[in-house]
Amino acid sequence: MTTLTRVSATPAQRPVRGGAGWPMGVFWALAVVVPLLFLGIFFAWPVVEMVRRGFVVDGSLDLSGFADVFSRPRTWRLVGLTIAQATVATTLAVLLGIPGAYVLYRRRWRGRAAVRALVTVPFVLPTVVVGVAFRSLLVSGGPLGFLHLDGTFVAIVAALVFFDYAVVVRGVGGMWERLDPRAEQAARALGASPWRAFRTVTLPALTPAIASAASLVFLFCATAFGTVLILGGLKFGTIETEIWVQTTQFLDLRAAAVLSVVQLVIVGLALTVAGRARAHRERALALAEPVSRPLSLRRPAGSPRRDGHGLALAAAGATAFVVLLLCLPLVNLVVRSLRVGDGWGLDHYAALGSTGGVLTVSVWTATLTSLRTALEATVLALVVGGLVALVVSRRPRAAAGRRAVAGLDALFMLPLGVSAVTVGFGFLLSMHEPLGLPIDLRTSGVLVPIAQAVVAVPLVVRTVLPVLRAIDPRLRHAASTLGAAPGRVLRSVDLSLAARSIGLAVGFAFAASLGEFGATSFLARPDNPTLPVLIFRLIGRPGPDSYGMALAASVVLAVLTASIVAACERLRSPGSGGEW
Amino acid sequence: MSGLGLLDVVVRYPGRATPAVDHVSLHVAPGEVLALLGPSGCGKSSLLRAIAGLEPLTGDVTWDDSSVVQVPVHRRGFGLVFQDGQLFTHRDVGGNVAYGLPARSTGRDHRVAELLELVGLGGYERRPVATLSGGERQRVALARALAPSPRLMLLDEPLSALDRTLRERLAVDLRAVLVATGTTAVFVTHDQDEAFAVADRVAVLADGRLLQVDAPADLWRRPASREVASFLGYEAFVPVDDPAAAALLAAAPRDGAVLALAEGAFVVSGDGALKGTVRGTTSRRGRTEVRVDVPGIGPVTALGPVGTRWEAGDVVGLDVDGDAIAGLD
Repeated sequence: MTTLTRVSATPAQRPVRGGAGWPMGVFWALAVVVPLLFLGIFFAWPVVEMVRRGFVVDGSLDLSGFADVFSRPRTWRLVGLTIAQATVATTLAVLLGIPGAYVLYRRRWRGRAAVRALVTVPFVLPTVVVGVAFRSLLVSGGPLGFLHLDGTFVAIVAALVFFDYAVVVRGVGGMWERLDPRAEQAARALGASPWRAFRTVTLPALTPAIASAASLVFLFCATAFGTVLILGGLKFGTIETEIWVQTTQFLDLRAAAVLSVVQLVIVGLALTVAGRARAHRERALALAEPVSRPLSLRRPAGSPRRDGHGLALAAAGATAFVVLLLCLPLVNLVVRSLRVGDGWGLDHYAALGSTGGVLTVSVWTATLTSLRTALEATVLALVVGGLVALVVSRRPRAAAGRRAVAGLDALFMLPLGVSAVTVGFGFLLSMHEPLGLPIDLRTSGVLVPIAQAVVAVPLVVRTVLPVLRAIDPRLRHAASTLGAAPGRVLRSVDLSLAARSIGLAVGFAFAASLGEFGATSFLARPDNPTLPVLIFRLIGRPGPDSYGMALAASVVLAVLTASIVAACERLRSPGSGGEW
Repeated sequence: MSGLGLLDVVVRYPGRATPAVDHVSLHVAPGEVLALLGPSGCGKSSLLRAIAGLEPLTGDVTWDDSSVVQVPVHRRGFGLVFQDGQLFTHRDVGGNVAYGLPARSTGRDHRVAELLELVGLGGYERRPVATLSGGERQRVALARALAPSPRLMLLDEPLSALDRTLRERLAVDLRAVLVATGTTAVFVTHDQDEAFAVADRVAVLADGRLLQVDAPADLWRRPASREVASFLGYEAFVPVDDPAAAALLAAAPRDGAVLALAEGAFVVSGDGALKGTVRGTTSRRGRTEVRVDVPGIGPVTALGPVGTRWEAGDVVGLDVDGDAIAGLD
C-alpha cells in the first residue's frame, strides 16, 4: 500500500437512493403459492381421489376394504415380499457401497473419474431398461442362464442392488471425501489400529450419510415398479406392482386404494428416518475441503506394515468386483441387441424405424415423443422444484416461519414416496373436467409431462437445496451492504452459486422423466406412447424379432439417458451438492 | 450532528433473557475512525450488524441527523467487511471489487484498478479468489467495500483471522487507507493494540454496555473503571492509602483513589527502591519478562534487561516506570 497519494477516491458520500424496488413480498408469496398449487392439483387431488374411490361407497365411508384386502393371503405375501426385497437389497447395497465410497471418493487413482461415472449409469437407467437387461442376462440361453435365476427373488434383489449401489457410493462418498482426516489420525496416534480407527471414529462420523443413503435405497426398492414388473413374473412383486395389477387386471379399485395407503405408511416411515439423518448431515455440511490420498497396489515406499494398506486393497478389490458385476448386464444388453438369429447384425436397430407390424408407432417416433415430454416435464420440475428449494433454504427469524419452512420441505418429498402408479391412475380419475372446466385433460396428452414433473420435483429439490443451504448468509449480507437490492442478491449470490447444481438437477429431472414408467403407463395415449411404454409392449409380445427390437430400443434409451446425465454431471464441482 | 449517531440502541435475540446490546448511545464524526473494543461475546459485533441493518433493533441509528432504521441494508450506503472476507468465490478479484459499482458506469475498470492499487494488489483483477492468501483476501474485501464510496465503513474484526505479524502490518495499512480516503469507519476488535493502532477514538464494551469512549492515549492514561483497566491490560490495583503506594506515587503522581499497574510498571534494576520475589521468567520479543511478587501489591509482570536469568525465589530490586501506571477514581 505505497500509493496513497494517487487515490482519487474522495469521501464522496453515496446518496441514499429512494423509491420502491421490486416488491420482494410478492415474489416470495408466488414462490410459495405456485408450487403448492401445482402439488395440490396434480398430486394431492389425484391421490385423494384414488383413495376416496376405494373407501367411499355411495357417499359414505366404508373401511371394510381394509378387512377384505388384509384377509387375502396374497396381500400378506406381497407386503412381506416388498419389505424382504427392500431390506435385503438395502443391506447389500450398503455393505458393498461403503468400500466403494472409500475407493472412489477418499482415494485418488488414474481412471477414477471414469469409474465414478460408470457406477452412476445404472441409477439413471430407466427401470424398464434395467429389467430388460437383467432378463436378457438370466434367461435360459443367456450368459448366466445356467444359474436358473430368471424370475426369482435373487434376480430381483440383484437388479435392485445394481440400480441403487450408486446412491450409497455417492451419498456416503460425498461426505467421506470432506471428512477431516485428522480425527482418524488422532485415533491412530492414540494407539488404534487402522481397522479400529475406521470402526470407532470414521464410521460413526459417516453414520448420518449412511442412514440417509440407506433410507433412500429402501424407499426406491420398496416402490420399485418397472424392474420388478419385468423380472418378477407372476410369482414376485411389490405393493407397487400389485396396485398396478389390481387396477389394470382385476379392476379392483378398493384393493388398490388400501394398498396405496399401506405403501404410504411404509414409505412415510422410511422418509422420516431419511429426514432425521439428512438434518444431521446438513448441520455437519461445513466439513473441510475434499481430501483424497493416492491409491497404489504396492505399499507406498517408506510406509510401515499394518498401516492400513491391506484394508485399502481389500476395499479396492471389492469395488473392482462390484464394478465388473455392474458392467455385466450393460455389456450383455448391447451384445444381445446385435445378435440376429445365429449371426450378428444391426437388423434390430434397422427395425426401430418401422412399426414391426405390431406397434402403433415406430421406436424413433416414440423416442421423439419421449424427448419432447421429458423436456416439458423438466421445465415444469425446474420451476416448481427451484422455487421450493429457494423457499426452503431460507432461515426465517421467527420460530413459526422455521416450522412452516420445514413443513414445506417434508411436503415436497412426498411424491418420492407415493406410488407413481397411484398418481397415474389418480390422474385418470380426477382429470376429467378438472376444477369443473369443460375440458378433458385425459385425452389431451398434457398429463404425461405433468405426471413426470411431479415425480421429478423431489429430485430437483434434493439436488439444489443442499447447495443453497450451504451458502453462508453473510455472503448475502456482504452483497446487501454493497448496495445490491434483494432481487440482485438472489441473482448474483444464490443463483450464481447454485448454477452448477441446477445444471445437475436438469440432468436428473430429464433422465427421470425420460425413463418414467409407472405413471406414464397409465397416461400415455395408445397412439402416442413414450419409449419405456413401447419397450414394455415389445417384451410382452412373442417372437425373437420383438424381443430383439426391445433390446435395441433399451440400448437407445440407455444411451440417451446416460449421455444426458453425463453432460450435466460435468457441471458438478467436487464435493458439492445433491445426495445422489 | 453530522456523521453517525446511535441513540439508546438495544439489540435482543429471540430466546435470550439479556440484550446483546444494552442502551448504547454514540456519535462518530465524519472522517473519524472509531474502534469498538471488548472481549468476545460483549455485543460489539451485534452492534455493528445492527448499524449495518442486519439485526433488528430498538432505539435509533442516524446519519447526518436523519434516521436510517427504516432504510434497508442495500440502500444505507454503509460498507461492511467481515472477519473472513466473505468474497464471492464465483467471481474473480476484479469482479468482487466491481460488485458494488453501478453496472454500466464508465470508469468502472479504472475504479477497480485504482482500489486494488490502493490496497497493494495492483494488477490482481483476473486472479481467482481461491488463489489468494488470507491477507490478500482481506485486502480485496476492503477494496470491495470501499469501491462504492460508502458513507460509513463497518469492519467486523477484519484482521482477527490473520497471523500476528501480518495483523500488525495490515492494521497500519488499514488506518492509512481509511485516512487517505477520508472514510468514516467503525472498527470492531478484541485486541487493544489493534484498536489503538487503527482508531481515532476507542469505545469499550462489556456485556452489551458502553463503558468508556476516549482517544487511545486518554483511555490508556485514565480508564473510567477497574473493568476497563483490566480489559486494557492493567494487572494490579493498589489503593493510594496503601503503604505500598507511596513508592509508586513518588515516581508517578496520579489523581484518584486507586493506582492501576500495567505490565512493565516495574523494571528490574539492581538498585531499585522496591524488592520483589521472582516467580518465573518468560521472553517476549527478546525482552525478558519476570513474574515477581511485590509485597503489598501482589504478582506483577516486570521487564528485565535482555539476556539476564533468574531462578524462582531470587529477590530482585525494582524501579517504577510511571507511564505504565494510571489513576482510577
